Amino acid sequence: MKPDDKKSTKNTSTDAILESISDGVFTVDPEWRITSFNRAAEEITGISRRDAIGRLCSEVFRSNMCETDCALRKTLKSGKPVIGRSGYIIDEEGNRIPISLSTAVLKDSSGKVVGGAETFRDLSEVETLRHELEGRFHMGDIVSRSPLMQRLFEVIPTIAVSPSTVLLNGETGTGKELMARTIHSLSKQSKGPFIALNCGALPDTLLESELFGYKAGAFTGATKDKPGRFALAKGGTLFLDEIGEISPALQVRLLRVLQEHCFEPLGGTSSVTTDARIIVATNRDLAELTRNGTFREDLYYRVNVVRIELPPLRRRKEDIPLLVEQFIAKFNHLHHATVRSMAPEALSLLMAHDWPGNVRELENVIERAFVLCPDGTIEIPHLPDELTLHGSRSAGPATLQDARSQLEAQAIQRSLEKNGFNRLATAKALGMHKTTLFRKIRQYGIVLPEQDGRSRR
Amino acid sequence: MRIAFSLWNERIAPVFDVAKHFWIVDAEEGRIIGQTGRRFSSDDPQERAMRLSTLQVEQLVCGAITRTSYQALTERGMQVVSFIAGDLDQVVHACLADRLKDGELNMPGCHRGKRHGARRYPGRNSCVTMSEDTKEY
Repeated sequence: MKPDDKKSTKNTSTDAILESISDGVFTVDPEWRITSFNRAAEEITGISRRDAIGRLCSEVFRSNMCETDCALRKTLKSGKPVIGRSGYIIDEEGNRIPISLSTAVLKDSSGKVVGGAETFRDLSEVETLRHELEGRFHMGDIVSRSPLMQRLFEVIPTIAVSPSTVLLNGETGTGKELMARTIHSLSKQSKGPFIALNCGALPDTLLESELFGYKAGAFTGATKDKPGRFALAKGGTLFLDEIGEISPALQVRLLRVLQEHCFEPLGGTSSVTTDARIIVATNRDLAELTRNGTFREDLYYRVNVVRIELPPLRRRKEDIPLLVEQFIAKFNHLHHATVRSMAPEALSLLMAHDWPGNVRELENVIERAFVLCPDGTIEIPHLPDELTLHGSRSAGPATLQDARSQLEAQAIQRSLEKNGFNRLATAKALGMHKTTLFRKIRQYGIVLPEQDGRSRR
Repeated sequence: MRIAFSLWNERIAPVFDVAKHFWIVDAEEGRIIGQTGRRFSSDDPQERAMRLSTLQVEQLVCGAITRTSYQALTERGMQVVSFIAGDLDQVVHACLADRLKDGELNMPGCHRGKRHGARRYPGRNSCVTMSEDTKEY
């Protein structure tokens, strides 16, 4: 076989390989004009080889990187390949096609640089799957991977479309208002207003006029009519936070609105009807308040139609990485910062904290870190003292025995939660006899739910 | 009439959504009566549309454009002539002579009806090249 024939056979087999692979491949000359364009490149871009060859690569490829961040330009300048860069190209219908690309320098047989080669892969299917997965962890603005929250995510759409009053119960900072907004956004009244009022923030008389509004002349200084929150929430949702703080007198008026759907503004002579969906929230135990007489029993039963318990962050610690990611994106946007992520060691500290202030506390910790670290990675020194070793040293257990007991109690609690409070499974997981587990549960005063793991289906 | 051309390296920028500069041409009866270069300060489609709208741009000539940006511009009453490629001077003159619709300066793969090789991509339509008539402000 002559050398020319050998060369020709080699080119043919290279072409056959390029044609059969599923990654798009094109090459350019030093003037950035396309010199080859394989079958997969035609399929991904929607541009035929005949149209592509000889044209500027930026006008064929049409990627978000072409103008300011061209990977091929970098490779030809540095001689180093770029691998797995993500971006998008725009097809002829204006759709964004997510891609990942890699580049290399193209040399001839004598080693002379004759251009560059770029391979790219269509990530549309991967992106679709990723969005589907993310969707499972999202409900409105709430993100969670926790099984506790996933159970809520399943019932919230049904609760949202019903007209019933909802009681949100949860510690401070667990996202009660966010949940109320989510319910509103999924409800039939979503096009109407969402009106929020913190009942604990206002004195009783002011709260009454805020809720029901007043007529001109109702009191000194009332020169014109003012609509209350019930009137403003017409066709929408009224969210009453800290409902446990309102006075007995106001509780009676509120009960009437919830029962009759009508109220009288201060100084008014006729009743006004309301169709607003009511969502109330509290961080207190309303049943306990009812027992000790500070909250009316009839109002309690009126608001406790559908109750949603929002778990504290310490019971859904698996959400911390997801929440951190969400807050980093939020503060990058708000502060025009470029923080990429949080270092694994810093994240471990967050996972070890108990979060008495819940998601709000976590958000504040991230915001604080942004002040100290506007770009790059959030490290341990950017976290507040109470989370770091220095902080825990001062508030830590007094003796080694205390420290051991604390760790043991935490491990048992975590394992119980993980195993749905099934004690036998927990004992197995912890590698101890069930009798020992029962003894330790009693010793550390770990509270178990009334319904244990055995009866769970 | 005020026309904006998205600009990169003296050519129409390949992707409008990330183009940093644009060229504004004021034309009357097919003649240029004024022209100037400007910069986009944001990549947000709404803010970019607002920027052009504030400058009273009536028509935008650009390269590839996403649906989101296209909609943001047409909602503000701008006419969009997209998927155009070529030297700025060449495109400006073709635009003023009403020759952009001839297809000579279309981006590769945009045949406006001719569509060589279209058989291979049966699901696709020809490029979004020209939006409907300019809406009233």
